[in-house]
Amino acid sequence: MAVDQDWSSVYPTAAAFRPASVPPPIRMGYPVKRGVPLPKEGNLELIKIPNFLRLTPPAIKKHCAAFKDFFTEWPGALDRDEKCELHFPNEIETDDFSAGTSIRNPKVKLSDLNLDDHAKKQLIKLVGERYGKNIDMLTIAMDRCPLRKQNYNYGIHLLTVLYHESWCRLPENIQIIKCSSVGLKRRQENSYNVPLLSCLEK
Amino acid sequence: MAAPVAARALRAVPWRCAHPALSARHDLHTTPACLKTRAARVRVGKGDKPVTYEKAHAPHYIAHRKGWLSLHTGNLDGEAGAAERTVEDVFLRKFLYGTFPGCLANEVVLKRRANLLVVCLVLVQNLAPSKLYFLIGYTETLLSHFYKCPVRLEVQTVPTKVIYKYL
Repeated sequence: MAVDQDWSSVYPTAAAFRPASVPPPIRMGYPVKRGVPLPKEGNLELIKIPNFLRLTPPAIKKHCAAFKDFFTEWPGALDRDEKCELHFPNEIETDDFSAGTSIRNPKVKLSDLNLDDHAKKQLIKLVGERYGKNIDMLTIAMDRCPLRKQNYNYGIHLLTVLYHESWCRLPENIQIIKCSSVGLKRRQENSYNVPLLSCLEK
Repeated sequence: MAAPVAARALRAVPWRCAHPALSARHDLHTTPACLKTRAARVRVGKGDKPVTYEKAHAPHYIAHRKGWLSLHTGNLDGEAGAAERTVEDVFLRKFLYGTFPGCLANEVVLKRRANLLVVCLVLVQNLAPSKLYFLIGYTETLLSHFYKCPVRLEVQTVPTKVIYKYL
């Protein structure tokens, strides 16, 4: 292989180790007594391990140059993590590789929502185990819909409804006694039906 | 593999069958012996048996001197499909052993990257190159249709098997 050959064309994508393409005489393996590790030709250990031969710094520069056209500049005012959290308090995590549907986890810090004492307690009661006390984060896992966009819209809708419901004051004789993953149960003297509670049923 | 199976079969025969005249029923329920200390180990011989690096090392050297032959995420926490991947692996190894007769220099390495299945082979240069190319294309096409996922073969050829030591 010529010394000035373009390495990013030898390993453009993820590929197994090819001893003929990689010039250095690498050895790998546990040596026999008073011996040396096995050479790279036919060395299964070198093939087994994942390699990053495709990600040399010049190759990464080329990748960045290639998709620079599709991106805009990062907004200069958001130069620190705290500022990002202040202006964009919702965090959305997407997971695509789980049995077909894509999960979206909208997360929001309760302190960022406008809640007074009663509303906050009501919200926590409504969501149950989805609230993490030590980090003060409410996480909603959405995997009902087949499309990512549908999951996202449903998650945002749920958050909105939760927020509004937590502000409304329930009559005295109605309490929320238990939130479970099966459904929310309410003891009621009158038949007072709240459509929200069925949203959080799994 | 034949020796442990035969040993297991011998041990499974209950002693009662050898003495049918004895009438006392001693119902001892045994399972075949597991022979864990003989698994995947090439027994030391006279020094004339060539072994590859893979065969020379016993299973307790995995993650110390050996890597894994099959890489997939099925065994991680919260991931599904480990058993299915294992069954696929077994089939693939048998299939490749038969498709490249006498050519496999070493074990097959299987890597799964999302949907893609990468099969890494080390072959001895026994076949003519045109035959080899045909077999590679045949394997890729057949396995892609069979498993409904892209299958890529990465083949390396060596003049002879790479011998690590003689046992």
